[in-house]
Amino acid sequence: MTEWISAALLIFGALFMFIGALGIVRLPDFFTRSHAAAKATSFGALLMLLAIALHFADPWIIFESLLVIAFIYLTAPIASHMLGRAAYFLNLPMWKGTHIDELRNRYDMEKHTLASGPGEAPGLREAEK
Amino acid sequence: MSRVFRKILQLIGFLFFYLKEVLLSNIRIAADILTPRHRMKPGVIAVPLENLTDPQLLFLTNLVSMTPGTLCLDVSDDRKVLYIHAMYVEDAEQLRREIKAGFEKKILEVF
Amino acid sequence: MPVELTLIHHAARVALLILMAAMFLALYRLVRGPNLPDRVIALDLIATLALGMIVAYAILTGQPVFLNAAVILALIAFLGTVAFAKYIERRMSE
Repeated sequence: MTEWISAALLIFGALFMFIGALGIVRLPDFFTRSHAAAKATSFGALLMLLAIALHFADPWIIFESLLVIAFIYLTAPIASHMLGRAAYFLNLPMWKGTHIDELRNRYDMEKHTLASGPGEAPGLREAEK
Repeated sequence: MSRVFRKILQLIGFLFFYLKEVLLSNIRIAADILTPRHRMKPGVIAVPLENLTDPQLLFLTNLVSMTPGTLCLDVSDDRKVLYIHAMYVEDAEQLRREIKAGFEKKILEVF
Repeated sequence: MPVELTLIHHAARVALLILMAAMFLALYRLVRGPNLPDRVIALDLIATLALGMIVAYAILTGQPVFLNAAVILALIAFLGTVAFAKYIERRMSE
């Protein structure tokens, strides 16, 4: 019984990672790609690590795999936040279907600060040119 | 004693809520990647925040990033606004309301 | 010594095959770009895929020691991604 569950977790985990990779290839712009990278692949890793914990059923292995799961779930949003910020400074093109962008002109391109409202960023005028 | 107990119950409830959101988000993103046509309507929206402590902010951004269709991009320097990239923005106001009334309220209750 | 193949071993093999296909997709994005952040995400994805491969391999060989490598890989992949993001942002302001 455990073997079946563990095998299913392993294959579903691999499938979710594959979906993440497919998303990275198929989705049209950087920001939507990072959706796929942050969610689908960390979920795949979660399933595979659960599979190994279940398979060996050893306290240390279970602890270690839970630790890796917690680490991945803490760091995946941070990595995508840092990359999204960097991409925004690079002025990467967004997909043509992107119809609202409330972050536009809120970054100060010189000092790398982020304002909370319109017209508050000191570097706003340079950015609008 | 009972307060500690209630806190633990709340934390467990939050954990299950988080897992449910993660599961939903993955099914939805998988469906969107696997179907041939892009049905999405992406956009970047600003969500105003209450005064949150550091752990609250961490869990809120984490929750937003790991749930269907939303990804945190940045928090403004005065920590009043959270900028998120969303895959399905039909109505920016409604999405803002959902995040404030759903996630933020829950975070403020638990932590 | 030949280990008798059970269900879980076949599952691990199938998982390895799927991950290999995913690795090719990630490599395609790494080569194609078109921008630096896209490549960094592809690298991050490759590290996660390698983590999955290590897990599948540990199950296939029955050696849980390999999980330690997975821990290290997760740590290093995160640090690499953050360093790349910082570098891209810093390079912009120069």
